[in-house]
Amino acid sequence: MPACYATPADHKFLLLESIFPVSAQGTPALFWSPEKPLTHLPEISGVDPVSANLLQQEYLKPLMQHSTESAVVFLKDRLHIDDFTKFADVYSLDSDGGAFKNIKSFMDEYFSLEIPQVKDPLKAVKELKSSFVGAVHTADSLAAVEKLNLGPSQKFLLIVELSPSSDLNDEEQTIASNDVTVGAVCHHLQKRGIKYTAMFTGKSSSAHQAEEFETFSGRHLLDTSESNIGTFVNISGAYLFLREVLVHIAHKDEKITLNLTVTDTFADESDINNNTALIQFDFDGTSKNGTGDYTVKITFNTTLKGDRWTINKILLSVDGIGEVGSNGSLSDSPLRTDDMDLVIPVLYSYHCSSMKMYVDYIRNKDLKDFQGTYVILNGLQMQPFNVQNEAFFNAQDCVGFFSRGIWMGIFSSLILLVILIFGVMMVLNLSTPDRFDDPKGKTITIAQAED
Amino acid sequence: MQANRTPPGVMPVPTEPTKRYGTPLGPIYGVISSVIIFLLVLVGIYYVLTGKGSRVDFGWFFLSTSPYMWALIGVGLAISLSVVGAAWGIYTTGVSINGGGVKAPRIKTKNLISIIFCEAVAIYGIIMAIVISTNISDVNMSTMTDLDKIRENYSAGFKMFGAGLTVGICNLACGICVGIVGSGAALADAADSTLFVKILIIEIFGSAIGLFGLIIAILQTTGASMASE
Repeated sequence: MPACYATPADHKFLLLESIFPVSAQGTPALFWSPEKPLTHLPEISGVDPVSANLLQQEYLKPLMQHSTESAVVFLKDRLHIDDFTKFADVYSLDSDGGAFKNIKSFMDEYFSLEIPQVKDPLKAVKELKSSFVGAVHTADSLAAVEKLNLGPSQKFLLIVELSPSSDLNDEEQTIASNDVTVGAVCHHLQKRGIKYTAMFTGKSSSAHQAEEFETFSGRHLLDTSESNIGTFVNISGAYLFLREVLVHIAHKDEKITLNLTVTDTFADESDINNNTALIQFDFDGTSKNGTGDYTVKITFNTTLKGDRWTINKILLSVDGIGEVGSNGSLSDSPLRTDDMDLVIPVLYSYHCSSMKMYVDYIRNKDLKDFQGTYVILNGLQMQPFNVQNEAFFNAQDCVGFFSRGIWMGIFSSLILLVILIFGVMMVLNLSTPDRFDDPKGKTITIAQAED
Repeated sequence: MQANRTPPGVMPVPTEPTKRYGTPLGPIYGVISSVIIFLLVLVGIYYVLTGKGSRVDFGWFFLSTSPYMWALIGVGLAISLSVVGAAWGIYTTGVSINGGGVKAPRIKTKNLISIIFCEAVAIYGIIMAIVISTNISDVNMSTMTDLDKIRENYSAGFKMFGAGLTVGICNLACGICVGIVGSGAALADAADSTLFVKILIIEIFGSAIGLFGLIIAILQTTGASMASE
C-alpha cells in the first residue's frame, strides 16, 4: 500500500466526526479487546444516540458480563465527539492520534468498536457494576491499579475513573494525561497476562454545548407528530388548546424529567378580561422514575392593545423540588423568549408545534442553579381575545416562513448576484474590431515558414 | 444606440458589436425581470388579501439579522465600490493616454496626474474600510440583557453599513468622473498642449466629490462601537 494513503484504521476517528452531526446529548464510547473479536456486535447506523439500556443489553452484556475475560471501563468525566475532532489530530494522513495516542493505537492494533453517541453511559456502567459476577474494583490511577494485584485467574471488572480537568486548565493536557493513564493500565494488565475487554467513555457529554443550545429556538430538524389529539378548553371566551407538556429540571447535578398529563381543567385558574389575560396552566405529575410529586404552573401574561395582542411574560413555577426558598426553588421564574415573536395581530391566534423555553438564568442571577431547566409545550394554540365564529382564527406560527439565517443569506447573495449581473453585462458589451470582416471573402491563410 | 461623438473628418468606429450572435439580450432581460416582478407582486397580493400584511415585517428583519452582517457588508462595499470606481477611471484615462501617446509622446508624463487622481479614490476606499472595521468587535449578543447596549450594537452595525455604502458609491461616481475627464484631458493635451492646465481644474473638482464621501462616512462611523456588557 502506498505510503501516502491513510490506513483504514485512521479513518476510525475521522468517521466519528464526518458522518454524525454534533448533538448535545451523546457521549462516544470506544471498545477494544486484544483477544476477542467484536464483529458479532450490532453495527451502529443512524444519527440517534444509543440509549443506556441498548448499550447494556447489546454491548456490555455479551462483552463484559457473559464472557470469560475481565473487563476494564475507563470513565472520563466529560467526553464529547468534539474532543476527538480538536485533539486527536484527525486531519493529517499519518497522525498518531494527537492527545489520544495510546487509545488510537489500541483501537488500531486490537479488535475495536466505536459507538459515536451514547445517551447515558454512566447508567449502563452502574448497572453493569451491580450485576457483574466477579470482583469489582475501582481505581483512579496506575498506582491504585498496581496495588490491586490483579491476576489472570479470576474474572474482574475494573472501573478506572480518569482525573477531571479541574486542576489543569488546558483540556488537551487533561486528555493527554488521561490517555497516558489508559495506556499504562492496559500495558500493566498485559504484562500480567490478563485477558481483558476495555471500554473508554465519559460520564456525560461536554457542558459547553448547553449554552449555545439554549439560545437557539425555532426550527428543529425533526418533524413534529401528525396527531391532533389534545385538550381544548374555553375559559370565559379564551380558546386554548394543548397537546402535551414536558418539563425537565436541571438542579445543580440532578436532572429530573417530569411526567405531566394535560387534564380538562388544566387552564381553569386563568383570569381573562377584555384587555388583559393571565392564562395559567396547571399540571400535576411525578418524575420519570416515580419519586416525588410535583405541581407545575405555567403563566402567560398577555395584553391586548390596539391592533395587536402580546404575550409579555411566561413564568414557570414548580413545587416539589427539595430545597425551598427564594434561591432554591422555581417560583414564578421567567422563561427565555428572546427569539420568539410574541406580538400577534389582534384577531389571530398563536400556535406553536413545539415550544421549547429555557429558564432565563441570564437575567435572573439567582436561577443559576437551575440553568438548563426547560419546558416544552407541544401543539399549543391559544387565542385569548376576540374569538369570532366560535373557532380559532388564522394562527401566527412560532416558526416563520424564512428563518433569520435564510434572510441574511438571501440578502448577501442578492448583493453578490447584482455584482455578477453587472459584470456579465459589461463583458457582453465588449466588441471586437469587425469593421473589415467580410463573410463572403476569402479566409486568410498564413504561410508556414519552412523550418 | 450611443451618440455619435466622433469629431468631423474622422472615420466613425462602431462602439457596440455590429453583428448579432445568438439570442438578443434585450428581450431576455425583459422576460427575466417581468417574471421576477410578477412573482413579487403575486406574493405581495397574497399577503395583503389574506390579511397577513403584518407578517411582512421589516422591523423583525432588521432586528433579527445580525449586526455583523450589516457591518461587514459595509466594510466590503467601502473597499469594493471604491476600487471599481478607481479601476473604471484608470482604464478610461489609460486607454486615452496610450492612444494619444502614439502620435504625441509628450503627453505621457503630464497626464499621469489623472491616473493619480483616480488612484486616490481607491486609497480613500481602503482607508475607510480599515477605519470602519476597527469598530467591529466580538460580542456574544445572545447573553446580553441590557437593552441599551443591545441597541447600541445594532445601531453600530447599521452605521457601519451606511458609512461603507456612502463612501463606496461616492468614490464610484468620483472615479468614473475623473476617468472620463482625464481621458478628455489626455486627448485635448495631445491636440493642443496649452489646454492641459485648465482642464486639470475640472479634474480637481471631480476629485473633491470623492473626498466629500469620505468625510461623511467618517462622521457616520464615529460612535459606532460594539460593546458587550
